Amino acid sequence: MLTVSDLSVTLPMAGVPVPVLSGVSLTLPRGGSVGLVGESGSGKSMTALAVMGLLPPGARTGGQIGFDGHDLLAAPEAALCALRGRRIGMVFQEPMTALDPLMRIGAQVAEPLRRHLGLSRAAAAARAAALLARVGLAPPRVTPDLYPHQLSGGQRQRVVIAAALACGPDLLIADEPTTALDVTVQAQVLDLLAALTAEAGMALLLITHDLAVVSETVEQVLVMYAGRVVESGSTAAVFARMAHPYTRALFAASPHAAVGDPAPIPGVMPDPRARPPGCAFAPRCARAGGECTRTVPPLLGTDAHRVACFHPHAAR
Amino acid sequence: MTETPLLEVTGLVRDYILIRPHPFAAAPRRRVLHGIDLLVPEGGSLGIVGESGSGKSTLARTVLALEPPQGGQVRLAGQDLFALGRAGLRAARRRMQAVFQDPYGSLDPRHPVGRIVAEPIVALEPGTGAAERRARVAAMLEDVGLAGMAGKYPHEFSGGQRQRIAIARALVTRPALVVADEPVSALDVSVQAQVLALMRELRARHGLAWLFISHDLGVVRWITARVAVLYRGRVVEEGPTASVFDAPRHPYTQALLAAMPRIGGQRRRAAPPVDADPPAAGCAYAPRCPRAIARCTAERPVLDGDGSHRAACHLA
Repeated sequence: MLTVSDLSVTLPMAGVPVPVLSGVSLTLPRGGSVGLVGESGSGKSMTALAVMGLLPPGARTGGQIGFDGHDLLAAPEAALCALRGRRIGMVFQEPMTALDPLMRIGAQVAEPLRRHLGLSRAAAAARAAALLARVGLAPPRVTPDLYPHQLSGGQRQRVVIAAALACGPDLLIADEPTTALDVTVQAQVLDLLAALTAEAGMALLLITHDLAVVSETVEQVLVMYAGRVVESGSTAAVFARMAHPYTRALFAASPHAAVGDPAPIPGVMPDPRARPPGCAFAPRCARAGGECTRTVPPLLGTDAHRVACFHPHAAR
Repeated sequence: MTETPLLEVTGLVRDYILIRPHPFAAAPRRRVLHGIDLLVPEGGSLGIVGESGSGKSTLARTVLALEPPQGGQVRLAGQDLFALGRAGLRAARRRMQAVFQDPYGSLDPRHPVGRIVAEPIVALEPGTGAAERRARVAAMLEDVGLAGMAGKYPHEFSGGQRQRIAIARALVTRPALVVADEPVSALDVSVQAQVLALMRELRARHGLAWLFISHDLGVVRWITARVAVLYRGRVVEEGPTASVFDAPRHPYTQALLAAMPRIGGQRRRAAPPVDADPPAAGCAYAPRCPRAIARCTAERPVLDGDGSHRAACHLA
């Protein structure tokens, strides 16, 4: 249903065009789920913004983003407006800034229903109440006439999810939906997302830096580094092997994953204005050899598991 | 362990005064800390875990004497912080510093880093000369891996670097205790590992004690020697970190650990709801507890157990 092929994005930085995404491809079937993982600056959020048509001004794009027969990169703004919130829902990381502090939560969930589906005020309010109950915000504890400041962080994030789900989207893009939440609330939100993909046949594009969340929640995973996909495949295959040194480094740095002490990844992600000519991870990689600094390794393998590395790890 | 513990919290009670329902009503109160007892020895480390609303941050603010408690005492090296006058509290603050969650909000964007890190010296050690101040700031910035950056402004740094600046500011008065409230929750995993490694190294080098507050159990497991689990303003389990994590006794601790995402793990068990009001009598966790018996709703369990690992549960 969503097919991203060879997506590239160039942003002007101080007047100079800088590539921030290169050759990103992914396929998300109806009811499927894909996770994008990587550090800040890896391009995972930029990929989501490209799908939503919300790239910063001045961005140049290449490749295609196909959504149910539409090419989103070529679509006019009016067509995108009809899709966003209606067929593509989005949940952002910051539930504090995603909600309007002056609007009651029921009205915020009802807004897309009125705008996209043309529901009457009363019908939209009733649907909104049902949606809030669906995400676990039911009276008497939480009523639709509360304001965002009266809710906790986890409750606010559930309001954002209810609003994103209001029109029954075919695709939900969730950018770090649980990063600000407690473990128990995180588990609840992830369970909810998983249940919705299973019941409603909604596709899920989950963006996170937490490998453990990805491993439990999605069917396919793409590991991104410096604007490129470095490893991809079914979640089981990727985690069974973790062929790319960057995937292993992320794993070793995760306090949820590592058996011993979490190990920081040495060095920093290269500035997009000064990326090395070969593999962008080579300067931080213990396995890097001569060709790694000269040629960008291609993403090779089968649909079940691909890796872009000249010296991949064997199975764990 | 020394005879007087560095930090001793006894019977700490904190009420929040809520808005009056109507102008002539008495202002209702909500008790957020119900008599907390904690000990941190010189050079020790204690983690506080719990969900939002458990009182973790209120505890941090009260320990730091930023908020007065309604009952109980906070003793730093034997001195009751709330019995001290303004000057005495100022002197005590030199020995006790804080690192907060948000590395963007906690640094003044208009001041260079050198001035930000020097501020505690200016405020708490007014007799210090400018040359000594500069030397100490430079040494501290070197300690956190930001040597020679005193002239730069916060916006020139990444999130992880900003948190290092916050740590440098906390340590510049050579405190004996650092209270860190969610210090790495806003950071990427790889950066998180770097900051945690730095905190551990500084602890060893300066003989610091940490009170480390986090909802992230993976992080707490790695950084602290002991851990206290907070639920609705009460300590429900306390003990050596390894013992609490490997053999949790309280059903709440067990639920928290089960909700923690794991790589290659099974799907989470659905987390129990968090929105129910706690009962007036009995165990506050009883409504969520899968193992609750009649006694749990009638009689409040006290913190009890063999040796140093204690839990407040009738069934533990």
